[in-house]
Amino acid sequence: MIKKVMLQIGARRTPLAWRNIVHNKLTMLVSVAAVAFAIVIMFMELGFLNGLYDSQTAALTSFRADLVMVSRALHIFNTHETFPRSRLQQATGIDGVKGVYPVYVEDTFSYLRSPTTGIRNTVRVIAFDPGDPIFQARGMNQLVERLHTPLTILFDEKSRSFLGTMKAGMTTELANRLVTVAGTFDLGPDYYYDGNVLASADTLFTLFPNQNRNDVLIGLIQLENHVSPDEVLRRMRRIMGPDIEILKKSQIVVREKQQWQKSTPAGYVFTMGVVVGCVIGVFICYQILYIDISDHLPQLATLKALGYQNRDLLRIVLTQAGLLGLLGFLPALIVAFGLYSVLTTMTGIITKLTVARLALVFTLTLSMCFVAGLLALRKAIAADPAELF
Amino acid sequence: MIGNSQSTVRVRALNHAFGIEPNRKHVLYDNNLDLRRGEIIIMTGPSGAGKTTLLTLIGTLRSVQEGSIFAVGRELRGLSPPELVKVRREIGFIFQGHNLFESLTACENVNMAVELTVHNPRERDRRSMEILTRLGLADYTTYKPHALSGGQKQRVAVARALVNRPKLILADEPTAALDKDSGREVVRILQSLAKEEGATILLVTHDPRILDVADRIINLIDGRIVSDVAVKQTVKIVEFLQKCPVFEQQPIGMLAEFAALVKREAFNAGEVIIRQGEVGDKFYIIESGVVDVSGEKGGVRLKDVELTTGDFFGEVALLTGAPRNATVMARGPVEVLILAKENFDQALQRSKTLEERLREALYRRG
Repeated sequence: MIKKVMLQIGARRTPLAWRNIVHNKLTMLVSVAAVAFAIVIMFMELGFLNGLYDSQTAALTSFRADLVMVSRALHIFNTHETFPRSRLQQATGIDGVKGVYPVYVEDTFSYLRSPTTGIRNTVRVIAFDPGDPIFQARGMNQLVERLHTPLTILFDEKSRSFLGTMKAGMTTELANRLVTVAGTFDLGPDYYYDGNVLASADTLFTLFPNQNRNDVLIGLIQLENHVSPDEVLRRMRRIMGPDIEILKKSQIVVREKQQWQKSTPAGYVFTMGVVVGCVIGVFICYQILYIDISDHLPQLATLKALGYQNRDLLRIVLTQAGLLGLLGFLPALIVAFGLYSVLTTMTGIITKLTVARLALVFTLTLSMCFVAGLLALRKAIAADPAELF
Repeated sequence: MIGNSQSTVRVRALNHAFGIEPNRKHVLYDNNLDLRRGEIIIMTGPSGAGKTTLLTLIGTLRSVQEGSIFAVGRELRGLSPPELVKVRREIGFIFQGHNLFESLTACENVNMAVELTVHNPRERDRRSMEILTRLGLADYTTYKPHALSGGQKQRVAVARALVNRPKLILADEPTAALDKDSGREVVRILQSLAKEEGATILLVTHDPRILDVADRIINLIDGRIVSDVAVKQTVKIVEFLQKCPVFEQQPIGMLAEFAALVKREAFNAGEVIIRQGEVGDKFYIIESGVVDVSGEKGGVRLKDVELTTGDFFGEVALLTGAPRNATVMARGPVEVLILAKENFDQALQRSKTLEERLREALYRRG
């Protein structure tokens, strides 16, 4: 069997599918552009969707933690479901736990005035104890040391542009109190928050009387190097009551993405957009193949008279479909790169093109072309050599 | 023993119909046919007679419904569609259109046929080049169809049909789209193939320019093979008919059909060929000799008329349905060509000008 396949590959058949595509340069240009268009739609919708996922979980991702403790009532992070800090302290007693760090978030009363534009707008204030090594990036952990000084903040430079710019040493208003800008960091806005501010937990409690040390939004748990997170997780779950949810950091990131996809229209809209792009692509590709097959009906019928089986026609049509996809993919990728950077400039939301995402669009492209090829194949199979006489 | 060892194709009691009752339309009725090795057979007949259906059945492009076809070494009836497709690889098809892929070169178009069976690319190219060279296209193997003339394109199509050395070649109007010289060239190639490789060639054509290559001409009318004649005699008759005033302007294809249907008969001096008052069911053309026509009307003897080579008689009774209105007697030895009434009627139906000519000639004759 394998030998037979190798023989077939080695046989280097007449490249009919390829020749049919490149024969008419103008037709080829239009066809490839049309297929590329559908692929660009998929890239963009997927870009929006990933922009949503990435930005929505950017803060979570930036934390260093093996396990994350949250309230059982919390299903998505822009709700304010907190849990008692005593639960987190309880966890310190468990073998393998190196440290636990509470994180507080205020986004309701947190009006920030821009020193450059004068505009006042809510931001997300993320607060913690500046001595806690809660960030992945070493630089960040050093930077936040500056927050030991009361009523100082760090400002997210990537915040929406209307929030203006800030530099270390500037003073501005947060929740109607004067605060000093101790520096800036990079995080970026998302679909919910326009900007971010970091502050010490003490500053937070001073500024916002509704917040208190015992109501924690996120509990970060770091483990000793040698222990298995799964093992610790199991033990912890046994001890903790039903009001607490503990997950691995990667799990909670995934859960947050799923929540955004399921519980918000944006997730649905963009997922639908990818599907619509793929369906449009199927139609475009089908139309191109159908026209090409219709133009070659007598030739295809002649192939059948020569003794070509339906599966030989399948091979030819699917090769042509696949080649259209490949030819459309490259220009689509270039256009998508350009549009991504425009999108990032306009919204501040970062759309990253990872290898996995590239592979996803590529797979979708090929699937789209093959489905179209299978649909168009019916036309080719209908070619009847008896009609040629 | 199935078939005759000399027969490449053996058709027996073949019936075929299209559609579903009550709209079922029969196109072939109880046909028998033998095509022998190395023979070139031309099939003629009016459109709708079933020629194409017969060709597609022999070529495994349709499934046999009733009767039997033995071709390229096996019985075709009852073969599954995939089996039929395999049989096709042993048959060469030449269509009216060249049906070449515009995107492929001449050599690649031919390769499409070779690569079904030959997986070695070098061997494949060698075979394609060889057949193209034989067809006089050695310098054009890398040309795409748009750069080739009509005749060259058709020759590439012929090369594609012949490259696998089929034992049976089926062609439908292979010269219809070609000028005289290219047409002759294609036919000459087919002819040499039949002789050298022992291939059997079945041609459907209305092209009078190529009738002479045929060993046999089959005439199919209304789903029946009505004549199957060795061609030399037919050609002679056509040449004769062309000289007859009444047939002068008839298309030569029509004459060929006509020629295929007539019977030749000889009469001695003094023999009565038709007698007044008899029922008329035949049409006569004098091939050689002289006849005397005599008759009477209401007891009055009509003027005698002399008819000779190229003249015809017997048509009045056929046109009017009345009994013979005169007696025709051979003056010396006479040879006549005879056409039966039903064939005469068919000929008239297909050619209005023939009917006009007959009536005109009659009128002039008084």
